[in-house]
Amino acid sequence: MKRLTLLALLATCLATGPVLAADPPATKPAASARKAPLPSKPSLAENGRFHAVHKNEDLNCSDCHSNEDIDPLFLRAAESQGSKGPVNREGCMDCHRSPKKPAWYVGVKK
Amino acid sequence: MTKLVRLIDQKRCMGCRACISACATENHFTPDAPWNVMIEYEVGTYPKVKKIYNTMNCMHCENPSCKAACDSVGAKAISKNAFGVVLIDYDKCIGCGYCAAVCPYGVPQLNTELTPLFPGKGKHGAETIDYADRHPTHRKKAKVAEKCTFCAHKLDQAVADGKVDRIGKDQAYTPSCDLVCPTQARMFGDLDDPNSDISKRIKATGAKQLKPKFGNAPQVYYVLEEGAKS
Repeated sequence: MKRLTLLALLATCLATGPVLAADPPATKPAASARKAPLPSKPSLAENGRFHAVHKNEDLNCSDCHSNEDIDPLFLRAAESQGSKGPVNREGCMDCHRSPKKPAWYVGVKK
Repeated sequence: MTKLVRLIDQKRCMGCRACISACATENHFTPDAPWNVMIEYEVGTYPKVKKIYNTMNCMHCENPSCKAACDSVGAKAISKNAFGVVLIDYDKCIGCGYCAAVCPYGVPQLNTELTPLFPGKGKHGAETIDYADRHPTHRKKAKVAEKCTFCAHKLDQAVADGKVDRIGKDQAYTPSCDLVCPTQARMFGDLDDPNSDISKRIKATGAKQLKPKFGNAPQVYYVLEEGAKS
């Protein structure tokens, strides 16, 4: 009887061991929480599609709108020269060179 | 084929802004959406410093980013005609601003509000023509994108008059900004004609396109002042 009890205990340990040892089941990836739904209408507004697309690519505001290396040859209407805001398009090309992305910079070769 | 291009000589430009004034009057651009601007910056180290004057309008790229963006959102308001001129159809523009966002030169601008050229001082230039009689590029609307058209109304007139060969030579068929430059820093004409003045001058001066790394192949060439950015 004692042997039978030990065998039963061993079987129980073998059966439940992997389950207990495993990490708690992962929750559903937080992608849906992190990635904002994209507005359908194209818009440059801060909460519009353009900015939503780029936020979903994990870009921060300062990634594009930093005050460094302002390109003097980039026009900004209604802004005095040297003001913050101009986006250096060279950074855009890091992604948009890929043929799978929208080809804003058509004809650019790697 | 006729490929219209502009040449701007920074070594001659003195920053007087006559070209900007002429464009404003001819095309009635508003402060929100200038078609032609003057950018100034300094180069060098004291005491050897120099000021660069760089007048910029639409580059009328052979591969226009603005058109690619506009087509991608389905508006298809931007086209490129047989002369290589990139034009915006105000009736099709949905005012999304994507063209302004993607242009490496920052050219297209949203015209947020229609304002008189000289508020409180009557009508001037293009404003004096009845709206229905204006060229399509002068039938302005608020909340649409605008930019330089190479004075498309003059080019269309040249076609209508059968005088395409006079573009860049006759006052009636040449963009206003290129007419008024007191230092002859600007030139306009057909690059496909190897015997045209502009072809010869581009070749002689080694004029360059700005930001060639973007691959847009602009149709505006610059004779760069020493130290100027390209």
